[in-house]
Amino acid sequence: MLVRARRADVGFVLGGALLLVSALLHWVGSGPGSTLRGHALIDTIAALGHTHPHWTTTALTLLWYAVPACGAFAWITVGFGEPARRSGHIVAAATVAVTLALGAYFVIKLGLEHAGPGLYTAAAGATTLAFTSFTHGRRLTHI
Amino acid sequence: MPDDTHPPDPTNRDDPPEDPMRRLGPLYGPQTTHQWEGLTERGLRRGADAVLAAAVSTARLGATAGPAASAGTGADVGAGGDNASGEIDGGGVPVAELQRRRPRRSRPRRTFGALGLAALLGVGGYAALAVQGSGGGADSPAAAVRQLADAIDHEDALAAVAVLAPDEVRTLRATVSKAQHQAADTKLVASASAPLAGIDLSVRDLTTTVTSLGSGVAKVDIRGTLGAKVDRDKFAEILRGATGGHGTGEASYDLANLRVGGLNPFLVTVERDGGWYVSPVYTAFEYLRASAGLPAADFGSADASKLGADSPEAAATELIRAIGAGDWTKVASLAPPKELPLYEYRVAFAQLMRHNGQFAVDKVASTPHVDGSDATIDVTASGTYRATDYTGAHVTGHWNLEGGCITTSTTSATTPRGPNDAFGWCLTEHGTFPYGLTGRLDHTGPTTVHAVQESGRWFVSPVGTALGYLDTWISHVDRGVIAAWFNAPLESPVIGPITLDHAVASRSDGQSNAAGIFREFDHYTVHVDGPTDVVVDARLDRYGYSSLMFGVRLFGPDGTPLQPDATYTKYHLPAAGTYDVTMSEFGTPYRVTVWRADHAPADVPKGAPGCNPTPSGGEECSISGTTGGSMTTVPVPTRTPTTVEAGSSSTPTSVARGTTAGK
Repeated sequence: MLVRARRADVGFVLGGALLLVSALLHWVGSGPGSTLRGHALIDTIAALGHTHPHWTTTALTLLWYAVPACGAFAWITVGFGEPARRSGHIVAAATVAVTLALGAYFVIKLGLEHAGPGLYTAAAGATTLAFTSFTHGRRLTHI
Repeated sequence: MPDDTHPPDPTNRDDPPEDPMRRLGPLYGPQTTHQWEGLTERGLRRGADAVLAAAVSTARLGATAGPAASAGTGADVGAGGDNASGEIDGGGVPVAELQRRRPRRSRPRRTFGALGLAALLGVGGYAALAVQGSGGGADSPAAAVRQLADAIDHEDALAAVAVLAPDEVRTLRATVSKAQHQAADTKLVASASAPLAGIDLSVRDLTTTVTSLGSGVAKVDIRGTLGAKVDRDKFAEILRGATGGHGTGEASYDLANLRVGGLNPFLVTVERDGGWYVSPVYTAFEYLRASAGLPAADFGSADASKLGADSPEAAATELIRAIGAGDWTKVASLAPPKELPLYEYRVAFAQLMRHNGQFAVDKVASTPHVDGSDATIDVTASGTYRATDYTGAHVTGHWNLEGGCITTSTTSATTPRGPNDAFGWCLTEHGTFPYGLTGRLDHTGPTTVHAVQESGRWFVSPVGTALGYLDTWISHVDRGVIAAWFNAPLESPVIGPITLDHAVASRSDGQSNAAGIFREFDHYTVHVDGPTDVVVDARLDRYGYSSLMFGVRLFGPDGTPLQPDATYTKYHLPAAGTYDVTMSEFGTPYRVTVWRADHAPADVPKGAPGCNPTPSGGEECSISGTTGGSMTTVPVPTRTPTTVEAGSSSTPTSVARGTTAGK
């Protein structure tokens, strides 16, 4: 049981790190935006939309920043909660939802061929959180 | 029970191992010692570490199972999961210790928790800045230029925009976006998201030298090599055809050899909200100022709260009157400082404009439509100015601002003012170019001017005004315009079929394409059932009589251009099929009939060789040697064919053949 709990901790640390690092990577692999790292890309989009604010620009900005925020929450869960229990489940589920929504936006807007490493890293982070939280959590309840 | 006074002998296998309870006894007293002894006698004999580990595990399991389970955990601890003795209650030492320790985290876990909190604060701060739109920019002027070069190097338009001055870019954003999508819709580019597909730009060996021009403004001299590789295979079809088909090309240019206005290449950067950006407007102004040897700008002097006008309509009216009065400082004060730093360059601007003539403003009417800090103003204005006619005599000139056009005309005894006696410029919403010349006075409607509010004051936005028209013009760019740009008549949409021996009228309203830079095509088809000789009878209707229109082209079913005979009117269609007939628009109404050669009237206006009589009884001859595309008109007597609507394939009621009706 201790080993499994520790695996959940490690999974959350790793997944959180992937989510945080994704903010520093390129989310667009080629074409417009490909030279901008994640936060610079979103800052640019937000800055361009600032004169005539549109809810989609604000929503995209908040959604994108929610990805590294989920990584931060994953680490907080490791420190002050239980990755394999309810707090971990909530963080993992929220991360998957945010990453899926953002991934869908980028893929629809740019096409999968233009997706950059940031998007893949975030997806890997969300998957790691979900896997470690839900699989290990379920096993614990059966012991 | 071992004797407390007898020390254990490790070599004596009969001696039981030392019981830790013996050591605890003096600390907890006989009662506790008795409890420990009771615990250690149950189940297998274990050391204290094993007991504690089992207690920790059981405590965790109890916590997972819920409070009810936890309540019983204390009783289970001593049993190691074997059995609950009930001898140790919640107040017992081991249980109390375990319950207090459970929430305590290991140091690494607490560290990750703290790092997570710090990361969350950081992410939140960045997100708040991003939502406010204050992110972006470079750390220094040189870094801004390098970022722009990097963006160019990677054909990353978004990254380029990110490092351009935000106030200037915001004005352009909608226009650029619209142009991208219109280019994709008209198949000028393969994809709106990759408008530069097939073009590989590069910036190599970039070096920069920064010179401060003032507070928050710096000039960056640049050296390096610009390169471009072109892969035509990745171009859209029409662009590939216009650039010579397939294949690749490559070129490079050393910036050290580049002179712009006699100056070495440089960019001007500005500081906004702590970040440095490349400013296209400041760069253009600085080039203009420096190349003309004009006074330096007064950077930082434009306080928007002390400039501008009280209202949008006041801004527009004051601007027109200031231009009329030649008060260029006032004109500069009415330009929005963030968008167009004309006020900072006011001394240079006034010096540049001092030779421009003045004019009187007789009438100005403006109607504002305010939307927050933006406004559009419908303006009409007119007045007079002093002019000279072709004899050198002073005459009164009239100017008019209406319908997006500024027109001038003169009135004198010898040159009465008429609808076609004007000259001027128009911002156009249609056609192949967004502005053009006009020779007409009958433009109607207001001119739409854009205004913006800064620091509570209203300014006229020249860039916004121009882009307002440009946006409309871009939205009207279609395949016909693209065909005109690339002189590809067959790319123009087909209006409809022409039936042999039946005339069609042009679509031209006589006002389009005033600039005459690119001419659109009217594209028809004509079908023949076998080899046929045809005569194309194309006539312009202007100046009170008809004349031959050049710029007619026929193409075979495979797109091959057909050559006319020496009269420029007769063609041989070698086989059955559908042929294309295209005509260049000259902004003048015309009629065109494709006759069977044996049906063509004798008075079909012909090109070279030959001359045709004019209505006044004279004769005018055409210039030979052209094969279309040029406009050489030959006045000829006209006849009156039956016309049908452009694009209509309906059969006309009758065709008057062989009748001539001079006008």
